[in-house]
Amino acid sequence: MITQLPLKIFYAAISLFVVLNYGLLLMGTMARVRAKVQGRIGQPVWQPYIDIIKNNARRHAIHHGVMFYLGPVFRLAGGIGTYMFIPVIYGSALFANLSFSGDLLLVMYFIFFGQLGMALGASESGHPYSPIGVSRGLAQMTAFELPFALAVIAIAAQYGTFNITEIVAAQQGAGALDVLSWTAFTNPLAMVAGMIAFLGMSMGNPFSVVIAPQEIPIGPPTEMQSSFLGMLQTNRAVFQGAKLVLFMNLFWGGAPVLDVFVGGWAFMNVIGGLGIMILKTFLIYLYTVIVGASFPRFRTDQSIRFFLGVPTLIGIAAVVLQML
Amino acid sequence: MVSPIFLIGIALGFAFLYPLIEKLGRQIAAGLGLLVMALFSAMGVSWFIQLAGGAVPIMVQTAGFTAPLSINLMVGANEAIIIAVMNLIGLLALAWQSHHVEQPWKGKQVVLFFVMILGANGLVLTRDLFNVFVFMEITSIALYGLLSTSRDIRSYEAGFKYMIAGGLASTFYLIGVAFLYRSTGTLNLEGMLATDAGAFAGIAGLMAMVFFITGIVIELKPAFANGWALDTYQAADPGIGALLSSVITTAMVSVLIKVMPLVAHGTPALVPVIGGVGAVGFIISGLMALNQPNLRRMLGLSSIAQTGLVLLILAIVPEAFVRLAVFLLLTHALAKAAIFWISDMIGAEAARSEMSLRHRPFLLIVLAISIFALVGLPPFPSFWVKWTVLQSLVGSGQWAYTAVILIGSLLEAAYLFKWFLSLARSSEDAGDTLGEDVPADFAASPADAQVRAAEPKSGTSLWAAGIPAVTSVLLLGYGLWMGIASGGLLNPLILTPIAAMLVFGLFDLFRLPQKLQVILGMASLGAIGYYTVPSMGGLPQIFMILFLGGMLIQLLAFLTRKGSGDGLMALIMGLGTSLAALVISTNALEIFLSWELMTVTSFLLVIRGRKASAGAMRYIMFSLFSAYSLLVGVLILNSAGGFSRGTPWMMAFAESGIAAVPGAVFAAVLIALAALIKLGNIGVHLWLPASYAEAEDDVSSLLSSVLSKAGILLLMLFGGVLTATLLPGTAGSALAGVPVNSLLGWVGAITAVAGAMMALFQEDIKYTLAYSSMGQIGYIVLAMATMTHLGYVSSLYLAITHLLFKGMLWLAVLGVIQQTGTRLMYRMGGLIKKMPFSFLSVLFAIIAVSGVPPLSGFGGKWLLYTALMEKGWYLQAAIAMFSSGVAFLYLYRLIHSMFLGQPKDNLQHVTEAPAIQLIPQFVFMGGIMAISMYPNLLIKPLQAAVEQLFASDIAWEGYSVISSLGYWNGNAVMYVTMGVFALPLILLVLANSGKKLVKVKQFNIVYAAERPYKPETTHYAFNFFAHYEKALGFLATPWTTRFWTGMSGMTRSVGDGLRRWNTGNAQTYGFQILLYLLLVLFFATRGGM
Repeated sequence: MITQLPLKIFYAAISLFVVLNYGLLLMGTMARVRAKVQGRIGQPVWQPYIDIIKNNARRHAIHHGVMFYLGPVFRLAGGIGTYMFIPVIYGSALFANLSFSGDLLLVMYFIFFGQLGMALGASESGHPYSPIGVSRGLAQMTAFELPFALAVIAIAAQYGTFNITEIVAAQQGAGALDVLSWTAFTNPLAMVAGMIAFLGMSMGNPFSVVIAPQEIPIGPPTEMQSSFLGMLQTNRAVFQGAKLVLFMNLFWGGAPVLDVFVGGWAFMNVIGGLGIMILKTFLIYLYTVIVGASFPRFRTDQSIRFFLGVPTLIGIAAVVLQML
Repeated sequence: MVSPIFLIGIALGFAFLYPLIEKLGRQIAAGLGLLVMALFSAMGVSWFIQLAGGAVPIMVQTAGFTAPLSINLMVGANEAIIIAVMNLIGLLALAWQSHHVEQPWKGKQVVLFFVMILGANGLVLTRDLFNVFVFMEITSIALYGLLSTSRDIRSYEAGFKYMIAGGLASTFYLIGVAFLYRSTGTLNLEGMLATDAGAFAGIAGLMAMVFFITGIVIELKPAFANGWALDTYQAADPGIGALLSSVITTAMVSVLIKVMPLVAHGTPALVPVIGGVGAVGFIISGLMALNQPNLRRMLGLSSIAQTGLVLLILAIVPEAFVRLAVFLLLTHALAKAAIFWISDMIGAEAARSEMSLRHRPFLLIVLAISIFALVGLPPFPSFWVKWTVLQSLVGSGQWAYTAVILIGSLLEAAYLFKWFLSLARSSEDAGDTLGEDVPADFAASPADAQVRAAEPKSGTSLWAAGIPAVTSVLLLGYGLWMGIASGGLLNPLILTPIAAMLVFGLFDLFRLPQKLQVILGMASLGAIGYYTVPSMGGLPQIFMILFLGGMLIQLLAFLTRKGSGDGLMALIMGLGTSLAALVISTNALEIFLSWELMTVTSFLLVIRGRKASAGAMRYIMFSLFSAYSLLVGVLILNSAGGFSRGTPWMMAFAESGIAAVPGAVFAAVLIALAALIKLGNIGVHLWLPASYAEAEDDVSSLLSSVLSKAGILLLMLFGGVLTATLLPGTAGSALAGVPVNSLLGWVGAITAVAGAMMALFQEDIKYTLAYSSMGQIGYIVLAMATMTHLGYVSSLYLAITHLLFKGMLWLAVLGVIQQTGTRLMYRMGGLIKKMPFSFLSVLFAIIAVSGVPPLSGFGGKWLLYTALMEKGWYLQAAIAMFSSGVAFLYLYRLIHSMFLGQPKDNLQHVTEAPAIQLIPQFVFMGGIMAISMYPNLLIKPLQAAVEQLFASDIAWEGYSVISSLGYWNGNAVMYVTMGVFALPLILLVLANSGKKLVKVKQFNIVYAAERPYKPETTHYAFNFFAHYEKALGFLATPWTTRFWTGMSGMTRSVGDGLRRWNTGNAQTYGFQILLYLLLVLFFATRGGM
């Protein structure tokens, strides 16, 4: 145990480094995709790096109190923690993170950790726009949590476990290409409910009123600047990565270590698994971008009604199917 | 033994001599009168002591002949105690009236009074039916005389109506007696009883008996033929009302008791008719009293209802139980007399009085005792009577009578408590506070209601309180004696709540400082725990620790109270010890008894709030409803032999057959209903918000965090029966075969959502927390309802962590309310800098409530969902997940609105709450941290306790708790969280190290280059979830409130409609009495109902 723990932490650090860079590049890429859709050239792919470096390099920073100071810390801790509790690549000790074997309920609730801390930090600034954003975000969250919870319950019932590793294991049929044993196909209703909920979770259009990123400075980050904002931007990459990996694990067969290479090339199996992860998460993210580019924004009450309508019914259907 | 003939002789002689004695001096005469009455009462007592010891009843012949040639008097044990109590009330009445402020009795009034006493005693004693008539007339004439001396001008008219009705009743009676004499050849009761039953056969015998009984019944003012009596009550002075209700009625009922054997012997068909008369009177009078605006009329209706109950019991119980009817009758006499005297102090016109008795706590206690005695709450005699009667009724399956008694009691409670609350409320309470009070924009707060203080009307205030207090002492002593005699109070711990209230009440009397009382209370609770907990095991031990520990720690916060005691600690100790008693109770009676004591003490605690009367009204009505459900449910199980082992905890499971005994499903539904009401589950939660929110701030904490677990205890106590299935024996219906616990689970799940939804839209922090408690309890019920090992463990885990974090929240909020002087969240803001410790406490609490790892709340969620998934309750699990999301909303709202955002100018002076209030919060916080780090500390004992009921289905590996679905390692999660928290913190500190880091002032925000105008317009807190309300607000529609207020409105309308029957016209009243005779005749020929 004592010798294992530092190794585990070392592995987790590598995994975190990978997901951070992957997340940042992914965000940069998708920003470009969005720009192309809108007929613009768009920012360079490495713009997120520039933003983070620039913000951290500012010579001034202002804060409004202890909670404000800790808000971004909570946020990033939440992002890293969530990621740490999810096994990324099935069968790889390197990318198992600190998940032991990964409990879905723990991940679902740990997501709130960062949100809560950030919300409190933003609130302390005294800026009215911060709590407005929080109030919208939380309201929307309760709404998409319902179809998501139903999807999770349907999956847990299907596989008889809340254990993420076991859920991924159950989706491994005859190798990485056996798509038909993925939850997406064995339990399509749960997948649909979950993937619609994912739209809300990633807060792109049409559910982007929470932070309204472009036109008005509203939402929790309103008062954040300098290194505080830099930390939030760092988190965005990690957290986005964590969510993508989670959905990949739940519905899309996870990212198993390949068993193609042997001998000295065996490490390539893990790289292959990483490749699968990158491919799948890229597509999942792309899906939210496509939806976002195609639909206008909902008001909060509209998105609440939306999530509690058809997606919830689909989720209920998925659960009822498991009960029969 | 003294001969009863002296009683009549002395009364008569004293009445004649009184005018002469008065010539010697009024004081002497009055004193002598009191002495005579005391003598009468003492005679009754001495007879009773001897007769209860087994002596032969006294039979006295008069005029030198033996019966039937002359009149004979008889004193049995029943007569003896009636005479003792009746004359005692007479004594008190005389004392009251002689010192009356406005019109003290003298001369003819005292003479009339003694004539009336003579008549009343004669009615009780005589065994000659014609002589009964004579005494009836004597009593009535004396009463007419007294009525004409009343202050109210309407009393003449009332007296006239009374005379007409009395005349008709006497006529019926005489006709009946004449016919009976014709059939039996005697007027003597013993003689008639000795006559062959054949003598009463045929239409002549029936008619005779019908006239005879109707005569007596009309004198008892039965429903639908009693308008004249009500008019009399309304017009008469309260003192005379007391005599009418407590002396004359008692005497008349004793006549009925006397002749009941004759009815049973001669015309058995009439017995159920008498029962019916009683039942109708009990219910109808209750309905009519509900909305009765006139206080004295309402009290009259209450007397009539009680008489009805006595008649009902006389008719339905075996003859051996007649003593019960006598006890009930005397309880009523004592309690009602006290109430009439107290009502003398208050304006007669309004049943919802503008007067307050709050400044006279002693009188208020006397009034409370009298009302509790009337309603039949323990430990008063009427409780034991109702218990025994209902036990026999349920045992023999007489559901209709059971329902009549319970519904009638509820109605009685409704109007009496409404009146009581209107007297007990504070001077600022308009009596209609059921929800939060958010002032409209720029509107000044509405002016508080102004309630006048009532002043004594007889003698000094000591005198005015002392006379009714005598009856209270008697009722209490008498009830305790009955309890001990019947074995219900033999267990010393069951007696402790009453003892604790008395002892701490005495402390108040000696003006012991509140702080000292709190310390003594903590010591006592600690001592009870010290002596009971170690010897207990399993679930009882856990509940005992939860109740006593929870109270003990929170009592620390009460140390901030100043001044001498004001009854608070007496009630808290009563509550604490009754909870302890509930845990250790081993049989049906003990469970019910401690349940009722808990209800009563908590009700009285709620009343103490500043604007709590409306909430308290709902609380007591729902609580009584709950208690009656429990009563019937427990009695059903009891009659099925369910409690024979004396170990109910094990009974629930080990004896597997319990769910299959006949009627088990009814018992299960009723017991579940009782618990759900107490838990404030959806549909029956109406009492909850206002009771929790309007109680005193520190009391709210106790109610919500500790008392709310009593319902869980009840559910677990009877867990085994909850698996009974609905509609046994039918197969076609959709509900057939559904176990009760699965319904319970749904109720719990819906409650969780509804509570959270309603908490969301409150501006008042106390209402938010109240609804939050409701929602959290929903989870606890849901988990428990799975009836699995994991379900029970998670239910208990949730219950204990709920105690910890809700205690923290309430106490922190208590501090904030005290420091800021407001309960409206949007009026606070930015308090984090003024009250950092309270903020920390709230922060930990909301993380724990919301279930965010790494704190213990997550463990609760994990256990809950795992239990639900294992049980296969997927949809319920989804609902629970949804509601936990909604809970997140109000939790954020409350911490933001209170502690973050913009500090208000008027709250700049606010300082941290006193340390003594913070200590319990930090104790709870320590508990949460310990459980979070080492979940095994809590889960392992729970697991062991529940293992006695179900086989365990969780395993351990180090600190990991493992279920079939997954695992949870609180310890590792805590370390990982600390690690991942430390990493960004270090990064941020490093990133800021080279910078100029400035902490800016309040208004320095990015605000379009403007400075905000004032904090009020910048603090986003009011109507925080407007968009949510727009989308889902309909879910918080008060459907159930509408249902219950509709029900209550309908019941009131029925009562109002019934009241129209009494027109006030003497002719109509006469006609009604004739009609009544015909009805009795009709039912008698039909052989009963």
